[in-house]
Amino acid sequence: MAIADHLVAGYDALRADIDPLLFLVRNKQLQIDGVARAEKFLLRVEHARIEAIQRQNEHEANSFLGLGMVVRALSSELSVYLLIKEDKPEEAWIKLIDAQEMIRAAGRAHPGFSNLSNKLTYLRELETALFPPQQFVSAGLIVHEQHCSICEVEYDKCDHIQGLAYMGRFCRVIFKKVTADHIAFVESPADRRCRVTSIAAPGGKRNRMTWVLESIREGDESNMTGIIAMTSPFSDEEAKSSE
Amino acid sequence: MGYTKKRVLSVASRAVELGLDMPSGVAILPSNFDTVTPGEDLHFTYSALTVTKLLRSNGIDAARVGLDTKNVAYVHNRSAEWIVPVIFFGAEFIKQSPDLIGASLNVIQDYLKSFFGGSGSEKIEADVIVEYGKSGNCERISYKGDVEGLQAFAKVVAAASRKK
Repeated sequence: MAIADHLVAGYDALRADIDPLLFLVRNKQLQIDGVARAEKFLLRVEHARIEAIQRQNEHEANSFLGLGMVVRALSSELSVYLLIKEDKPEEAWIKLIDAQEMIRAAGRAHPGFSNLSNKLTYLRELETALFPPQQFVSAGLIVHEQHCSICEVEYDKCDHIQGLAYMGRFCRVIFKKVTADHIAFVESPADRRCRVTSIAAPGGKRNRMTWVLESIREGDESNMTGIIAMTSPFSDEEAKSSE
Repeated sequence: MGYTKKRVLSVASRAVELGLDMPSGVAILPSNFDTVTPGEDLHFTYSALTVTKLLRSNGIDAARVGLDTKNVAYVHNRSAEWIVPVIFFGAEFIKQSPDLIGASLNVIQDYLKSFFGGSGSEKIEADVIVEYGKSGNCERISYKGDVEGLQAFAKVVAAASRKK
C-alpha cells in the first residue's frame, strides 16, 4: 500500500474514533486520549510530508500539508472542550481560533480539502455557543520591506504568492522594517486571538471571559479608559509575518 | 454587499502632479494617491504586491504606480476583510483590451477562493478606478461584499468603462 493510502486509511480510523468525542459533555479521559492519538498520527503525516518534499512530489507534499492541518484542527477542537472543563476558557478560545485557521489553511494547501466550509461554519458558531461576546483589537502596521518565506528574497522579486502552498510549505510574507501605526477596536480582526481580556471594575479588573474580579498588578494600567489589559496586537509573530 | 460610484479627479493628471509615471497596463495605485504630497511615502494596501504578481503570472500587464520611487510602504490593517488594492484601468488600455477588466478581477477572485480555503463567502473590499471618454474622466467604483460578488462587480466596472 502506498504511503498516501496508508495515511488515508489511518485518517479515516482517527476520524471514526475522534468524531464522537467532539462534544463538550463527552468523557474527559477519552478526549485526552483522542488528542494523544491525533498528535501521534500527526507525526506520521509530517514524516510523509517531509519525504514527499525530498522526492520533490509537490502534489503529495501539499496533500500531506493539508492533511496535517485537518488533524491539527481535530486536536485543537478536542482541546477546546478539555480546556473548558479545566476552567481555562482563555486557552480554550485560542484553541478554537487555531482550529478555525487550520481548517482554512487545509483548503489553501490542497483543493482536496476545499470542501470544509461546513466545518468552518460550525467552529465559528462555537464562538457564540460556548463563549461570551468578545471585543477585538486590530493592529495597523506600516511595513517598508517584505520578504518571501519560501525563497527568502524580497517578496516582489519572486513568483511565490502569499498564502498558497509550494512543495509542502505555505508562502508567508515576512515583514522587515515595521512600524506600529495604530490599534483599533474592530468587529472582524484578522486575528481573533487579539482581544480585550479585562476591563476596569471597582476593586480591580473584571476578566471578560470568566467575569472573575481580579486584582490589578503593577504595570497593568492602560492609557485607555476602562481597559486594563488586552492580548498584544503588536506581538512578535503578528509583527513579523502575515499569511 | 453593495457598490458605490463617484466621479474622481483625473488619475493621469494627479500622477503628473506627483511626478509619477503611469504604467501602460493595469495600474495599482497607492491608497493615499489622492492625498499624498510629492516626496511623501506612497502607502500601498498590503495586498498590492500579491495582486500585481497574480495578474502578471496570468499574463496581464500590471505594475504599481511609483515603483521607481524609494518612498514606498505597505499598510497592514489587520482586519479580517481582505482589501484589494486600488486598481486603475486607463481608457487606452481598456480600448485595446476591453476583456481584461473582467479577466483581472476573475484572477483575484480565483486567488481569494483558494486563499480562504475554498470559501467564497469571506468579506472583501475592492476599489477600481476606470478612465472613460476622451478627456480623462474617471469614476471610482467601490465594492464591499463577499468573494463571490466580485464577478458581478466586474460587470459594473466594465459598464462604467464604456461610458462616453
